[in-house]
Amino acid sequence: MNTEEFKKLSQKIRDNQASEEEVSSFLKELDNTLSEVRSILISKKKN
Amino acid sequence: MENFKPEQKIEKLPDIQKNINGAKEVLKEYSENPEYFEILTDGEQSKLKANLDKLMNGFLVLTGSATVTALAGGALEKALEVAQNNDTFFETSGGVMGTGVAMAIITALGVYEGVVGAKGLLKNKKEQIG
Repeated sequence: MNTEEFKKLSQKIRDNQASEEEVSSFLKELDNTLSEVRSILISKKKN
Repeated sequence: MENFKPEQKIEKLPDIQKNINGAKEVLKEYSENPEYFEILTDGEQSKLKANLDKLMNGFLVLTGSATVTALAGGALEKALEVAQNNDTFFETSGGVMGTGVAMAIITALGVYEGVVGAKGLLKNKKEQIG
């Protein structure tokens, strides 16, 4: 999910217009995002 | 269609909390020992910036508070601002991200954690009172 799509979904949830599936998708994406930040940095760690 | 209810926000957070802790751990190490890390590539920089943008939006939804999110988001926005406007940013000894940005992200995640923790306590208290 790109940033714009994520922003739209975030707004939909804030407006209480999102379904359970969309909320699950949002939470999964947020989890993945945090994980990716961590992974990017870990991958750059020198041996 | 069943709409998302505020109380569901807390219940679905444990996995995210784990990842926040993981991200904080590595960011802390980066900020304290930037020399341990290689320089980020252009692609990695872009990805990191996009991820930070997403996190800001995510905070707003999960905390449900524009004011509190502004505190967390403010730190992330500052990180992005530094990344985009500081000409010397990419020449720091810490590599492209810079220790200041790493600290800003840690602060933002800390604010977010505090809010989630406080909300969880309120929820527990409410359940105890019945």
